[in-house]
Amino acid sequence: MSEPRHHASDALLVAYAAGSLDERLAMVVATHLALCSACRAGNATLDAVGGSLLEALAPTAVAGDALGRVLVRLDDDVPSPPRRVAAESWPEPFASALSQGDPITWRRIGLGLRHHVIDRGDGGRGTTLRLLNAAPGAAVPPHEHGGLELTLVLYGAYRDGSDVFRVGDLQEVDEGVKHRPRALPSEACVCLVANERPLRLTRRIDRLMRTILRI
Amino acid sequence: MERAAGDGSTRHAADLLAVARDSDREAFARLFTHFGPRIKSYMMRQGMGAARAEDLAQDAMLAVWRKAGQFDPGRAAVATWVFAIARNLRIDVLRRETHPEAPPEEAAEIPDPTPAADATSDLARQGERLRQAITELPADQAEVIRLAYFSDKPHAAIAAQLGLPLGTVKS
Ligand SMILES: [Zn+2]
Repeated sequence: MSEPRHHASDALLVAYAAGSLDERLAMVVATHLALCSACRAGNATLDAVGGSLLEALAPTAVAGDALGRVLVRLDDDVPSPPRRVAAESWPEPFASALSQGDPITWRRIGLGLRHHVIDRGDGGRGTTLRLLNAAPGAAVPPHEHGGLELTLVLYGAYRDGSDVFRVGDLQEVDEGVKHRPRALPSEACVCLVANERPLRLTRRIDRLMRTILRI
Repeated sequence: MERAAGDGSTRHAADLLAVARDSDREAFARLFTHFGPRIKSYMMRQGMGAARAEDLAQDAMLAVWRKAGQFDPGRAAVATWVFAIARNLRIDVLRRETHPEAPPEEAAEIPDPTPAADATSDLARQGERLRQAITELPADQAEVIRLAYFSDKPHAAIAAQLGLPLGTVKS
């Protein structure tokens, strides 16, 4: 597979390395990293920045018996990590996360779009994570965002404005940006999408249909 | 005064490899003495109370012991590797508190993507260069970097201020 052309921004990679990124956004970034050597290299550097900052922190004295308390735990049984049965044909770590959740059930949401919701985001107020499956040529109605939207292409390709996003590409759309992505006409497109908050549909009719469409 | 960072990180790597190879408790004790108090500071910078930071520092060092076999000196400096462990532990703990219904073992840590093949540069020197670069930044910019790593600010707030030194970080 060729290397992605659309990458995570520096700010996103920093938040990921710092561990301050919401877990659903982090899942999209982590899966992009698995597909993108350029961002992996950036991530390694940013981890090293974290290491340097840790090294430079003024130490805070630990309890006098801290070492002793850890030493007696060294021989404890190690809890075995959960068995990861990676679903085939999805990139990691998304594949493992998917295998721990419900099996994929595509829900029709109209306009040639189907989705499988992985994380509803704390009762619909927080960040959501889902797979979006667009039929060839299908378009997501024009919408803008109340927060960051991350889209990672897993199959097929889509166009947004003058940009084409292919497998492995990550699109980062900021709050307030309106756009209308459309799957290329040749094949279906499946993306992993995280939305910081529910997106707002810009056309009134779409807004009215929102409860039906459930986008 | 501590010895030069380059020497320190070589010594840490030797100690960590001794832990992995021989379950060397003295080597572990040296790593504990160096990193335990720094991990505690790291946790406290994230707003945790001293008692909790202490517990997590101990848990992180226990994870250092258990995961030592995964350390690859060609891939990351010890401080980098320890940072990742402390960060992932913190993420796990916060997630368990936000989603108390999930069993702990489902709290996936930030996964380690496979390393880039060309990432075997001189990591100790890279770490030193980064530390140096951060030291030489104007105070306000260095603080932005520190805030980005040591506070739970929403990423958008920090993103507005980044762009400065990080363009040099990512090729
Ligand atoms: Zn990338």
